[in-house]
Amino acid sequence: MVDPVAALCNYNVLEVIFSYLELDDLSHCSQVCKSWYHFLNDENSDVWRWHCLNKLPKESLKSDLLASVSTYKTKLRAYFHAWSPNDCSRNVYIKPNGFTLHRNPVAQSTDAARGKIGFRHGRHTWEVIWEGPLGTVAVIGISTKEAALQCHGYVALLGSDDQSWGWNLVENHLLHNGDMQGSYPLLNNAPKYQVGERIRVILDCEDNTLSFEKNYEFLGVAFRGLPDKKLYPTVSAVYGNTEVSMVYLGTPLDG
Amino acid sequence: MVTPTIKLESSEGVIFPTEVRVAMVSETIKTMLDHFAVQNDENAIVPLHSVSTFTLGKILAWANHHKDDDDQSTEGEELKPRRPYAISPWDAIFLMVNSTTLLEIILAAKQLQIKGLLELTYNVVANMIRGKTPEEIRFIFNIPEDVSPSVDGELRWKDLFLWPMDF
Repeated sequence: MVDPVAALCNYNVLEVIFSYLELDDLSHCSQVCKSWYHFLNDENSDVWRWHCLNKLPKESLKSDLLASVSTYKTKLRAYFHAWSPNDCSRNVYIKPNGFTLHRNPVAQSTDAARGKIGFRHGRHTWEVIWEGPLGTVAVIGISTKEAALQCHGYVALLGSDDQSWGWNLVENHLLHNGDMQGSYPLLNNAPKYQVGERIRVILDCEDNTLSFEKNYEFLGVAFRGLPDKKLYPTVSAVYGNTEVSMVYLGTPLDG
Repeated sequence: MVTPTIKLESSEGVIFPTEVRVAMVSETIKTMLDHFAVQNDENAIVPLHSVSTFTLGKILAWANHHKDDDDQSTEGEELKPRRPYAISPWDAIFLMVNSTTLLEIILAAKQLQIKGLLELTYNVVANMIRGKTPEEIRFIFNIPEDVSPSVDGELRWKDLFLWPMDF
């Protein structure tokens, strides 16, 4: 007689069954046995392809926005980490591609947005792409859930309190608790950000540090001594109709 | 006019006289009949070496009940919606079997290429998995625990599936 459990190790069978399940259930399935783990660990399998094509907006799949995440599963993961439409300024909306925020042309307002998922453990990296003009202030960084997302005037909102940390790309300044924490990167005449460049933010919750990379060059640790709190990818913007994309990449590669 | 029948033989040698129309829900048997014109031979026996008597009986009961269903062949439709559908009361009662029998039915339906039964059983298995913990899933399907918890393993799982759990 055929071992019936073999049915549940047959990839053709698993592929269909897993396609019926949602992501939480797939998470549990990956911990059931080694063969299920290996099957779900294939990030380009038809299960992930199905969920990816089914859940991600078509626009994001057609563009090169997700060029840094090469597999279906990591594209899907990036979507679940994208800007939160429920945790952003009222002057910001998330575009249909799911990954890009648009700041409406509202006068005398600074507006911010947070990612859907915050981090308290592990090491994480995400890509930020400023696709419109920076304006007078453009800050990339992290914040807790308590940091404000909107305020009056054109200011460096991210980094203005003790709940947020940011790098103002316009001035190449680090900002926290309303203070300028120094120039960044630590180079004489460091080049300014060019619209469309991909900046990687690296959050290490084990070392409690925040760092940045630009064009695959590590720029050094920006902040140390981050608190043991859940920290969210965040940006704050002032320029009308500017757009900022964020793509979560997962654990940073070592080396 | 006698209804055309064919004899299907289980792995234990038990003969099931079956209407050809019922047997044709199996693409495998349909192909055999089309290619070899077996239906003209009253004494022909189709051996199914890997299908047990009990499983074959279950499958033929299902096929007999569904013999009048419309053929919903959708070949080539790769991305047809895979949504949990409403399982009919007859099918629900039919599949109130232990997980071993259910898996045997899946294997046999897969070998015999019975699309409707496969879709039904896949949905039933998915429903059995939905909302369960890994331990419960192992218990339901008698899957031996071959995963040894380790620090590295746990961290890898957390990394692998951190995002939905936090969402």
